Amino acid sequence: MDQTILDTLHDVIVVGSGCTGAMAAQTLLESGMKVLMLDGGMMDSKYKSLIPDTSYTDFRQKADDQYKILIGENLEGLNWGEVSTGAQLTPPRKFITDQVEIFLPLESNNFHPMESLALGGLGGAWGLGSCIYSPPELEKAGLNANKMHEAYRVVSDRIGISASNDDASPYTSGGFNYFLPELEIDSNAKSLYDKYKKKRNDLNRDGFFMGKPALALLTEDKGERKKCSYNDMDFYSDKDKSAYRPWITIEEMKTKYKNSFIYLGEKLVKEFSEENNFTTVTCIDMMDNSVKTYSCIKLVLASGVLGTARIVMRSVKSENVKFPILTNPYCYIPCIQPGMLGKSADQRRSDFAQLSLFHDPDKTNADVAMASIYSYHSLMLFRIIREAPLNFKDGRKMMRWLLPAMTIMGIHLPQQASEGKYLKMMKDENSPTGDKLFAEYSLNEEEKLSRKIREKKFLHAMRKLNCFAIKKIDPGFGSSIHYAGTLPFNDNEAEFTLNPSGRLNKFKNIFVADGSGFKYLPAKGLTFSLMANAHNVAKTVIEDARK
Amino acid sequence: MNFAEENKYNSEAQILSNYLVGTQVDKKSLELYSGISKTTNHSMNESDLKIWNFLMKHPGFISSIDGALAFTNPKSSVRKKIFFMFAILECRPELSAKFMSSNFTGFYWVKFIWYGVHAVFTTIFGLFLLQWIKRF
Ligand SMILES: Cc1cc2nc3c(=O)[nH]c(=O)nc-3n(C[C@H](O)[C@H](O)[C@H](O)COP(=O)(O)OP(=O)(O)OC[C@H]3O[C@@H](n4cnc5c(N)ncnc54)[C@H](O)[C@@H]3O)c2cc1C
Repeated sequence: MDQTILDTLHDVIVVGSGCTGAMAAQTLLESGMKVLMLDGGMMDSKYKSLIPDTSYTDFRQKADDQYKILIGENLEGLNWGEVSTGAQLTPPRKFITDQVEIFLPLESNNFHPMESLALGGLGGAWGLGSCIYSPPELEKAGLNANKMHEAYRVVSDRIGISASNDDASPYTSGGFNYFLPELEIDSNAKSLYDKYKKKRNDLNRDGFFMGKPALALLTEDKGERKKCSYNDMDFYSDKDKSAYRPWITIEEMKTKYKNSFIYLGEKLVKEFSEENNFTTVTCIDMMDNSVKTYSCIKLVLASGVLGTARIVMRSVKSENVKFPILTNPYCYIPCIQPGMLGKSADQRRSDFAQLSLFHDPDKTNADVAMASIYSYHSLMLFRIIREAPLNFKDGRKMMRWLLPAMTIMGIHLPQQASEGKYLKMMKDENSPTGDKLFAEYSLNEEEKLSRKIREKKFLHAMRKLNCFAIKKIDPGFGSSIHYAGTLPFNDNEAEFTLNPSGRLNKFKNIFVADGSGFKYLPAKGLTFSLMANAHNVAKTVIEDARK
Repeated sequence: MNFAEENKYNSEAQILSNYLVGTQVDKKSLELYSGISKTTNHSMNESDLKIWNFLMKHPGFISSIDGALAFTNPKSSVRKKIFFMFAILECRPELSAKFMSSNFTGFYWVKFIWYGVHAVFTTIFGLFLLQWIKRF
């Protein structure tokens, strides 16, 4: 082996610092392996220092430069176009998509995903919704139920997930008891939940189950991280670190594993090539576009489903090969609960989902759709008023009264692969990598019909709870920000698939720790399962290395 | 920015502030509005420009035209300018009470209905006015 390669030969290179990269790296480091992490590494350099440690109401009433945080220093938070993927991102969260247009170009008419090149990836803004997949869902996704259940516990211990014991538990916590105590919900959600309790039998008969969501948000202090302070600033700030963000793990690992963990940001991994006993990873330095190579024994790709697809396509020179892709169909529905009109909105609350409503028509936990229910409070009036068919002046006065009664229901539907959903690579001379991803995402007639029916059923269930839809907003495919299925799990060493333990088939030392292998995408938030799978993939890497 | 342009933006901001919250515009809001107007003004088409110029001369009709556009052309650049000013004003701490929900009295629903009725009638009037402006 070449001496220079030997000199810089790392045990493992992990690509990506998102939820999956962070979990995989932690498992590897805990086992004593040496890890080099290559990452996009974008960070928020503007906003962190500007956000005061105060409640939302206080902030709005006192901070003179609040516009910087609410609409952005360059007014980048003012979006006048159609509601599209990422509409919920506030200026301090927008860094998660920095440089993506340049380094991760994508062309599509009907698929508009959000990708990240940030330290912590999409996890820098995720909504913390954490669900355990049921055994039938795990099987359909191609995941081993026993291994996953062990891993769920490990991840929950690491990141801290709070959950309650209610009708939603079979869908959120799976009925396991290793979670933190439940979170408080606000008065708007309480009123809805009380109505659910009264009409429970009727709704359960229709297959609807409501409860508090399981969230990666602390209800007890955990080391340096503080429990949730309910100051209503979660859309803007992570000051007390009560919400789990992957950068927290990366920062911890940098101090705890000084001698065995190296983190390099602003490195865009382009491709890999596997030799007999080592792998070379080629990167573009995002600062000066220079090319750099790093070597390792094992390579773990955790660059997000689309990011990993790009790297694999380039490395295997797979021109014209189509990779399947999955995303949950998603829509937002603002609703009004007349009973809450004009009531004063809670000051003490968290901004995350307040309730979850699951639709499990045959009560087998196999084909479940999910709605997350939010109260509209600490997002500004200007974000929603432009959707109302009213002049701005009267609209402002009316909306102030409506706000405490407003809930936003985000409906996710499950998804499986079909012909009209794929990715492929195209040449693009303007991109630093010389290529771009092309995506096509369309549902067949049966899927379209089933989507329509299920969304209607949710509206019907909400009407039963005296909560009425105002409008349906469909930001298009990709807006759920849940992606999977590009390299589906496969036992038969087929090309462009993963073996069930996460190794890229046809390769010895290349592993994939993100959601690329999931063959089915349940409607429940996938990230808890992504992290559990990443932990398992890392365990396989360790076992493999020990052999 | 030249003096005439600055004056123009200042008077636009003043008119919009009066319309939206009924108060004098503050220095910071003026600054932000000028900043954003530099880019948005250029994208107005002829018909929107006509409407805009009319409204700047006759600010009393803004709510009618705004309401009518919310129905006929919600993404028009006239509404876009009003929207930007709305967002800027919403971020002023001294105006926060005008944008945040608070403890409403039991009779607020009477006001609410009044605002609703007002919005409907001004919009109907605005629909006719819009036709008229476009013709001239
Ligand atoms: C607003 C929002 C709300 C969400 N809410 C929820 C929720 O409630 N529940 C839920 O389950 N999920 C939610 N999600 C989705 C969740 O964030 C993602 O599923 C999860 O973060 C994916 O993690 P990942 O590690 O697979 O990928 P990513 O987060 O995409 O991380 C990819 C990492 O790889 C790096 N990278 C990419 N390409 C390269 C390259 N070529 N070279 C080097 N580095 C590279 C990036 O810098 C990044 O660090 C939400 C997402 C958003 C944005």
